Amino acid sequence: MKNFEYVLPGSLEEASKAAADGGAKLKAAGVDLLDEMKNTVATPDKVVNLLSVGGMREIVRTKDGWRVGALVTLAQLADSRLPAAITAAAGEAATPQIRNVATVGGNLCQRPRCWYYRNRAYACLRKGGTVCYALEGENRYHAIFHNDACAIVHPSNVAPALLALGATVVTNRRSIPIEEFFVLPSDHVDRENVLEDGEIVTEVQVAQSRWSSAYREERERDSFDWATVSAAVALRMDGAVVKDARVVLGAVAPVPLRSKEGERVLIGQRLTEKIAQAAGEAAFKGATPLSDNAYKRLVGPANLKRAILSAGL
Amino acid sequence: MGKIKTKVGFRGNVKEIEVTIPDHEPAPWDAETPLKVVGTDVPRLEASLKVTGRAKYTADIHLHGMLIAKILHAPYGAARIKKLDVSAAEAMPGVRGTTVFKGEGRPLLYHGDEILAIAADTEEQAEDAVAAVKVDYEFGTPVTTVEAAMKASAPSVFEGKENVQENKKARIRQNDPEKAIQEAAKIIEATYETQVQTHSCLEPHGVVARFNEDGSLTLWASTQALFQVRSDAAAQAKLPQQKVRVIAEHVGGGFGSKFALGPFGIAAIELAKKTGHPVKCVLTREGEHTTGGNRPSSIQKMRGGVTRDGKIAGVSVTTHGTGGVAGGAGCANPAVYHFPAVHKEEYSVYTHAGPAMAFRAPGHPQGFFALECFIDEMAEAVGLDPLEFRKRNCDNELYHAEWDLGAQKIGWKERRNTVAGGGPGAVKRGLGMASTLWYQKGGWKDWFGQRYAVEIVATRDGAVEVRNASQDIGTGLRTLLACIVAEELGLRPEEISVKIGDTDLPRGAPSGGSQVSPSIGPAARNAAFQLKKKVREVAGLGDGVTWKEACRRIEGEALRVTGERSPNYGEYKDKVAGCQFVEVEVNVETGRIRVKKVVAVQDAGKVIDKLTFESQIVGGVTQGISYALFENRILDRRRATQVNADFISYKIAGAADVPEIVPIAFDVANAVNNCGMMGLGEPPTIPTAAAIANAVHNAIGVRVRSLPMTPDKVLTALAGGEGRK
Ligand SMILES: Cc1cc2nc3c(=O)[nH]c(=O)nc-3n(C[C@H](O)[C@H](O)[C@H](O)COP(=O)(O)OP(=O)(O)OC[C@H]3O[C@@H](n4cnc5c(N)ncnc54)[C@H](O)[C@@H]3O)c2cc1C
Repeated sequence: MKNFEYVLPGSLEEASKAAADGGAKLKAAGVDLLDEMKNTVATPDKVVNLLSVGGMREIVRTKDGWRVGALVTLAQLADSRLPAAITAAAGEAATPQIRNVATVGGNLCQRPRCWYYRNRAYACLRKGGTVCYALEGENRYHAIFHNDACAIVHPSNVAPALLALGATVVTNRRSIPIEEFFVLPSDHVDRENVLEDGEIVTEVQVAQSRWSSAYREERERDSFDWATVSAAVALRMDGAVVKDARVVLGAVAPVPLRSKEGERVLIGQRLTEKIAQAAGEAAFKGATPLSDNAYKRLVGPANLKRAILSAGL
Repeated sequence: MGKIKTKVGFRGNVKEIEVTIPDHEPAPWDAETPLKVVGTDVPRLEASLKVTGRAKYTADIHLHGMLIAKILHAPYGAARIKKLDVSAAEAMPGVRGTTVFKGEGRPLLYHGDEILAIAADTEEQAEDAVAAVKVDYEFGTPVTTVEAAMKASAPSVFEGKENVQENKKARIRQNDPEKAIQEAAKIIEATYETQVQTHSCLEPHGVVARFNEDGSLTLWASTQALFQVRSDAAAQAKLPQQKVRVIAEHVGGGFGSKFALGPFGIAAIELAKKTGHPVKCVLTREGEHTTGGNRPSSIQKMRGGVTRDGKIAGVSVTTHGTGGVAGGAGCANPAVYHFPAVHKEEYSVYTHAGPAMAFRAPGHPQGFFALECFIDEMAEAVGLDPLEFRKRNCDNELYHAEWDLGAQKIGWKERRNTVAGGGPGAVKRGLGMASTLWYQKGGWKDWFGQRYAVEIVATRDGAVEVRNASQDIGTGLRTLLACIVAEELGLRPEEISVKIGDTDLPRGAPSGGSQVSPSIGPAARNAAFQLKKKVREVAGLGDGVTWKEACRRIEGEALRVTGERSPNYGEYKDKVAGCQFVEVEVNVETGRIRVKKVVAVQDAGKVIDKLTFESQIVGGVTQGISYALFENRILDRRRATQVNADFISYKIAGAADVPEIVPIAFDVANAVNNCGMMGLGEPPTIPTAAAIANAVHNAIGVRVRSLPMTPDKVLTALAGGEGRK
C-alpha cells in the first residue's frame, strides 16, 4: 500500500482544506475506501478522517422533516422513523456488522463495484483508460440503461430511496437536490457525483410529506449481496387513486434512475396489480441489455411492481 | 485369523454373517452390541479452542525472525511474459529474497499462474514488493469455456496437444444400449450442465518453513496429507524424509485441494534456504480461487429408454467438462440404479483456467445432478412417482429403507404436488429427492505402503493419550478417536486426550476419499483393546478395580501400546447409501429459488459420534445448496481473468441461505472392520443439487438443467427457452 498522510481534522474547514488537493481522499467509516486502497484502485497521498471532525452523527427531527448527518450509520437509519423506502433500503444493505459502521455519506459516495473497475490489472475507462471491459466482457451485474460508454451500476441502496423522496444533499458549500447529485458517464466518466475537491457531504435533508413509499430489491442470495435490481417508489395517494408518483430504479444504470415512463402509467390511475405491472413494464421498456444481463429486464418489472404495490396499499 | 459370526444390517433388517478377523482383534461392534459411548452425542473436543480463537492454524504460526513471502500471480490467462524486471522490487525496504517460478518468455496459461515469490520482513513489505515487479505481458487468445475450446478453430491450450481428451478408462459399452433405448416404450433425452466451483476453504493454503540448526526442516502446513507434504518437501529441499517434520494441528478445510506441498510451500522452502530465516507463505483469496483448486464443470448429454412398467431399459451418457489446465473432468454417471445397457463416454477439455483438484466426492455432485434429474424425467415420462420409479430400479434394501424414512419425514405423499407447477400466487412450493452413494471402507496402509497405527499412552495418574499423525481438516477426528477408546476402556470421552497432526506420531492417513476415520478408528480400537488387556494383566483392572486404581499400579511411568490397522474383514455392504428430500419455494416472477427444508438420511456404517456425524451431513448439504444456487467461477472471455476471485461476487451460501436441515444418522452394522465404520465426509454433498432441481421442477413444472440455478436461468426456463439444452 502506498504511504499516505493521515489527517485528523478538528473542524469541517480543516477537513475541507486538507481534502482540497487532488491526491487526498475523504474517509468516513472507511468500509469502501480501505477496500479500494487494498486493491490499489485508490492510492491517496492523504487520507482525511471525517470521524474526527465531530458531529454529523445524528438524525434531527425538524418541523418539516429530518436532517440526517453524513456520519449517521446505516443501522441508525434503518432503525429510524424516516419514510419506509429509506429505512428499508438502509436495512437491506450489506451485513449487520457493516451497517453498524458504514455511514450515509459514505454509502452515497461509495465507488462502483464493477469487477473490472476494482481489478488493478484492468486500466478501464473509469480509471483513466480507454475501454469499458464490461461492454464486451462479463456483464451479468452491469447496467441495462445508459450503458454505452461505461456500464457500471450505482452501488448505493440508499440513493434510490432518497431520490424517490426528493431529498437534498447538503455539503459544506451548497445544497444540491439529489436529482442533480449523481452524474452519468457521458458527462463524467471518472466520478459518480458532482462533488468537487474539498467538498464534503454534511447532511441529507428529507422533507416530511404525505407520500407513502417502499423499497424493494432482488438479489441472488439472502446473505449479503448487492441487488441485481432495486426499486424505490413514493406515491401520493387519494384513496385508491395515485395522485402523484416518483419511481426510481436502482442497480440498472450508472446512477439511481428516475423513471418518468413508470410514473406516467401510474398517475391518475386506481392502483391495481395490473397498473403496477404496466408501470413496471413501461419503466424497463427502453432498456438496452448487454450480452449477459437481459434477465434484469424480466426481474426489474416484477420487483418494481411489488415496490409500487407495497408503497400504495 | 479366526472366523466369527456377527449381526449386520440396520434396525428392522438384521442378519447374521460370518467374517474372518485377525487374532488379537476384538470382534466388530455389531447390530446387537450394547454400547455406552459410541452412537451418542459427544461434543467436539477442540470446540472451545476453535470458537475462542485459541486453536492455532498455519497462518497463526509466528516464529522468531520469520519472513513473509507473497506470490506474484499472473492477472490474465493465455499470456506470455515479454519482460520481467524485479530490480525495483528487490530494492524495496525489507525485501530479503526472490524466487522465480516463470521467467521471460514463459507462457502464463491461467489467471493465478505463479510468476515469482518475494520474502520480506513484513507482510505489507512483501505485498508492496510484489506489486512493484514490472511485467510486460503479451496476450494470446484464451479459451475459457468447454464450448469455445471444442471449436475446430480454437487455439490449443497446450501447444501441439488437442484441447479435447477422452478419459478412455471411463468408456463403457454394456450390452446393446442403442437397441435397448430404441426399443423402449419411452425415450428421454436431456443435457445437463454444471459450473466450475472453487474449493473456497476458509483457511487458505499456506506453509511455514524453518530449517533447524541440525539441518533438518520443520514445516507447518495447512494440509490434508501430512506425509505427502513431507515427501514433496524432502524432494524440494533434497533431504531424506526422516529429516523433515510436518505439523498441522488444526486445518480449516481442504475438500481435496490440500494434498500437495504446492507453489506456496516451494516458495517458503526456497526462500527459507536462500535467506536463512523461517518463511511463511499463505495464499491470498485471489490465489485461492485461481490456483487453490476447483471442481471441473460438466456438460452431460443423456439419452435413455424406459419400459412401459417403469424399468430402465438402457442409457447413453456423453460428458465433457473442463478442469482448466488439468484433466480429469469426469462424471459419476450412471450409478446407483440398475441399468441393463449402458453407453458412456467422457471427455476432459483444456481451457485457460487454474487446475482442477479433487473436490469433495470428485465427479459425483456433477454426475448425480444429471443422473438424479434424469431419473425424475424418466419417471415423469412413464407417469410414475419419482420415489416409486427409484424403487423399481434398485433392489438395495438400504436405499429402500432410507427412502421411506426420508419420504415420511418430509411428508412426500401428502405434500408433494401431484401435478408439477400451478397453484395461485407468484411463489410456488415443491418437493424433490435424490440419492447418493460412496465407496469408502477405510484401509490399512497409505499410498506410500505404510501401515496405519495408533499409539495409546496410559500414565500412572490414569491419564490416557491417543496418538496418531493424521491431520483433521474439520471432520472431528480427535473426538471420534476419543469415543472409540473411551468405549473400549470404559471411560468417558472427555477423559481421553488426543494428539494428532504431526508426522512424528504413528502413521496417519491422508484426508481423501473419506478414509481417515474408517482407517484410523479401527487401529485406535485395537490399541485400546490391547491396552485394556495389559492393564488387566499387570494391574488387575476389572474385579472392582477402577481404571484410575489400576493405573496407579503401573510399573514405571506409563504403559504404551500400539495398535495397527489390519485389512478389512468381509462386510454387509461395500458402499454407503443415502438420500435427501428437499422443499423449495420458487418465485416465478423473479426467478428466485429458496430452499426451505432438507431432510438428509445418510449411513456410513456404525455411527460413532452422532454429533460429528450430523455435522458432516449439515456441512455437506450446505455446500450442496451453495453449489446448486450460488457458486460460480466467472472468467473474462477475452483475458481469462477470474473477475470474481473474491467472496463478494463469488457467492457462497451464508447463514441466511441455510434452511432447516434435518440430518438423520442412519446406523448400519457393517462388520467391515472392528468398528464397522465407513467413509462419511463426501456422500452428503453429492445429491443436494439434484434434489433441489427436482423440487424446483415439482414447484414450477419446468426443468432447470443448468447449475447454478440463478434467477436468470429460472426465468429463461419459464419463458420456454433453455433450462433444457
Ligand atoms: C460485503 C459488503 C456488502 C455491501 N453491500 C451493500 C449493499 O447491499 N448495498 C449498499 O448500498 N452498499 C453495500 N455495501 C457498501 C457499503 O454500504 C459502503 O461501503 C459503505 O456504506 C461506505 O460507507 P463508509 O462510511 O465506510 O464510507 P467510506 O469508505 O469511508 O467512504 C466511501 C467513499 O465516499 C467518500 N465519502 C465518505 N463520506 C463522505 C462525505 N461525507 N462527503 C464526501 N465524500 C465522502 C469517500 O471519500 C470514499 O470515496 C457493501 C459493502 C460490503 C463490504
